[in-house]
Amino acid sequence: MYAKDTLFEGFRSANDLRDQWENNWEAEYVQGAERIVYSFFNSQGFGKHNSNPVSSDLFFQTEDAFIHIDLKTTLTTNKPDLSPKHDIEQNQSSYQGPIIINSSQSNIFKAQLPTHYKTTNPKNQTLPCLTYFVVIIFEKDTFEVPCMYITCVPNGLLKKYMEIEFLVQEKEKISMQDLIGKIVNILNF
Amino acid sequence: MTPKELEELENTYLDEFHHFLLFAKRRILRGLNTKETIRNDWEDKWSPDSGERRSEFDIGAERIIYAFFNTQGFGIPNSTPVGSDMFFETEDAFIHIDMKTVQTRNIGDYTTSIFVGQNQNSYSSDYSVRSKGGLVTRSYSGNLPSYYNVNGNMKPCLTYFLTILYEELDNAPKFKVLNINILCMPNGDLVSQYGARVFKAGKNPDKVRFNFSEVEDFELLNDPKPKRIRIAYFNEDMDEQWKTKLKYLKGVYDEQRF
Repeated sequence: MYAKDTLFEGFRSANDLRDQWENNWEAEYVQGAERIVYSFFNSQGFGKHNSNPVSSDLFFQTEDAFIHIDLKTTLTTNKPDLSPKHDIEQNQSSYQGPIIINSSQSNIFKAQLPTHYKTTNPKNQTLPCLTYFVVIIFEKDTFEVPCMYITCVPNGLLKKYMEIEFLVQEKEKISMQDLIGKIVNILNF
Repeated sequence: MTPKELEELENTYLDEFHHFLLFAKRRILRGLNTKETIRNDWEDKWSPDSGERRSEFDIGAERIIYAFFNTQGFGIPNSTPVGSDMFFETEDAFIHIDMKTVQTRNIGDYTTSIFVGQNQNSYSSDYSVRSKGGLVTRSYSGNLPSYYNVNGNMKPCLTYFLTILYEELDNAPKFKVLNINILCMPNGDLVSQYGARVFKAGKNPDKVRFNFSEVEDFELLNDPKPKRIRIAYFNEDMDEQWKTKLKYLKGVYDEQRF
């Protein structure tokens, strides 16, 4: 919450130059938003960055955890209800569970992240793997962001405590179902 | 801004980035290696053959390098979707920095020129390509403007590339960094000085390479002219076959003075 204004100013920063890039734009917004969000997280010193290739875009080690953070963007035209649901990929989750299609289980989502990392150097440690997503829903013409939220996908070991299954398949992608109040923190609405 | 003033500004920022890389070199190299501490937890999940074309080095290297740059506060990041991976505004410029990693089996793509994206430079020019029928002229136009106009305030668009050459090894850490450079590609308004020398043909007609060895100096600046290419790291402990191929870069490295 404390950096919301800074982030939103960053999202809008492309507008001042819009006439100088719009002709070459291929309708992807994610690169610009990633630049803003990741540079913000990087500048905060949350942890020590790790070069592991099987991970979210941001991945760092803190004293007591390994943390993955990925950014998802979508247009308001694709999500007119602003529903808190977003894509998730195998290399961004340690939660393994059934994928629901049309209210029935169809397959198993095979997560690629471990529930815990075991370090070998400089010392042997077992640290939990935590996974988060920053989701931005934006207006294509103005880069205004009517809704931004952060989600915490449960660690794979918490599966037995989850009362609902949350992985659904839409087209080729796996998404998280609506979970307002459970794992979603709305940053702007 | 005159062409010479433009070059002075390009050189000023290149100096900053170069010195920062020299300053942070040891920590960057350590950062690139951090995946080793948890290799057992990810190695069997990394399957570049199943649709993933990048090496296990590339993804992590971007994360580490960009994180280092982002901590420095060089400027205010801008969300323009047409640009390099890093794009920020300073008091007197808009700056694009993109990273290019190349492994030794493609060393020919690295030694004197480097591939560049259309959204990463402001340079436009015709250039000649040798083909079976003789020389053919191609046109290329970078997608970035030479200057950004912010409510009437004109700021130049500066383009830099951070290039890394690494060798893949059979055993962990499975890579060895051989060379790290930072390059400055001329702004589009400098075409009257550099002409077509900036470009070398890419693999496809719409692709070009930044031919940095042909435009190695800031040519409008006073002697001794600063280089547009700076070496941040040159691993002397590399196989002779690579050192031979990196002859040009080694020469630049040996002549660097601070």
